[in-house]
Amino acid sequence: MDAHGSRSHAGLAPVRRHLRERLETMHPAYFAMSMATGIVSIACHLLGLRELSALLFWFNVLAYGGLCLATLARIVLFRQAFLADWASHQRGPGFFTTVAATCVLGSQLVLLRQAPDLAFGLWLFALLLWLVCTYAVFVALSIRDDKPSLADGINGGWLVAVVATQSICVLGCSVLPERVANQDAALFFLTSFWLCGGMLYIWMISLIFYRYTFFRFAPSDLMPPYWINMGAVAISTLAGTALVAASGESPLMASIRPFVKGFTILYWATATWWIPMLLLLGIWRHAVRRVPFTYDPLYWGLVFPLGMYSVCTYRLVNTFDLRFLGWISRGFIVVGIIAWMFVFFGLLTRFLYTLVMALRARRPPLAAAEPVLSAFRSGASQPSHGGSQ
Amino acid sequence: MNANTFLFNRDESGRRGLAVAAHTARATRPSRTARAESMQKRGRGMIFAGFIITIAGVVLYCAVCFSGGIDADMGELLLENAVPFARATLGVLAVGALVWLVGSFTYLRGAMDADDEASNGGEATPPQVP
Repeated sequence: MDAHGSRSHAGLAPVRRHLRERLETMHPAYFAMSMATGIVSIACHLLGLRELSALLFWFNVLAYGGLCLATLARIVLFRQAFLADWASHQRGPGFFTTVAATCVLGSQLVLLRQAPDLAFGLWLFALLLWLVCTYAVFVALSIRDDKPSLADGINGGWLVAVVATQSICVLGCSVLPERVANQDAALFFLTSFWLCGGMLYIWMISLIFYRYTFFRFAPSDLMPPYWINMGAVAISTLAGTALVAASGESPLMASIRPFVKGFTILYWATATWWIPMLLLLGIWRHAVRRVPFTYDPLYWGLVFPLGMYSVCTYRLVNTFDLRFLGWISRGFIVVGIIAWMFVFFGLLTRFLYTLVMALRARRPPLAAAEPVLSAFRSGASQPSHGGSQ
Repeated sequence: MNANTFLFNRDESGRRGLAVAAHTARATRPSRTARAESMQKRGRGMIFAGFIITIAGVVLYCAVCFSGGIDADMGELLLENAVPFARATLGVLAVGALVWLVGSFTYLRGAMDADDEASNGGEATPPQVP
């Protein structure tokens, strides 16, 4: 029994090694899975797909918890790799997905579970994460000595910083104004976040567009997070509609409401402008240049904008009474669910791979067949025909 | 007879802790390779079928639920009649996911068997634990 146990341990060594490698190289942007699942769940809820919405909610609770545990394990086991990511131009901005994922889960709790207190707790946690991520990542990137070129350093994933900032505003509009005595102060605070997000978008998208048009652009450069070019303005639209909806009788908001509404439509129009561009670039990448679809956690960054576009259009339709746009919201949720399924299947394949590897590793090695081999050696059970060749 | 003339059969006998003689192994090697390829082919087919069924399930489910209109209250009202059908379409979705899952498992097993066969080459050597 002990021998068998030790054999199993030895056999599972490659599996353990595989899991450790996965944990060490875990991308900080993995929380995009929780963001994507949460926003698709919210879109399903708003559009009446209640069963799927509930299913995705529970999946997101598991995913968020699992990702938090994995991140904690990475901090403990691979602290150097974790710290190095903060100063990486490619991976550092991925930490902002923790903020957005926390806020999306909070929004789910408000909408699906009517649990504003829990959501408020998550909002406070997200605010703390936002402060840490914003000032740690951008300071670390600024002060490092060896910096990559613009072409190598920037990608659509940087815009997750915008998504994180706007997500604070979106969840805050649901949980903050009713908890503070001075509603104007709360709305001023949230409007500042909305404007900060807009400012970051203008800075970053200028660099990204410059990189698109003036640097060599290989198919491998068009990573899935480029869809956040659209997703960041989609969440800015959502934040704008949330501010308008939360403004109530606030004198401050009454004076700036036309400005907020105008900018909200500007953001929605920009998000819409990006969609054909990103589709064409995707066709160029996968159909023309034959880059195969293989699972990458960064693909969650493609699902999130699809779900967010559906949600922001739904809110825009309701806030501005634009019923003729309703079909867009419905169409995009169908695409969003299908995209979610594809990426989820890709993730499951990863787990299946590990499972199959573990099952094969547990098969008894040659030593386990020793009695049979001995029987063959003695010649007792082996007929002579055939011989060895 | 030397132990090296024996081959550990990973697919069938390995699981039961048996070993077969080299001549038998040589006789079964092409069939095991063919079996691995067949598993991969079958797995690919199931993955494709799973995708198609899942997409059909999603589209049907959304079509049924959207029949209530974009207004949430009105949608909810109409959805009450559509719930059994909506759940049936969710069942289609689940079947698609299951077919895909089984297909992926089959494909992965086939791919790993094929890899092992390739790494073992023509020689009857004991298998390397992956």
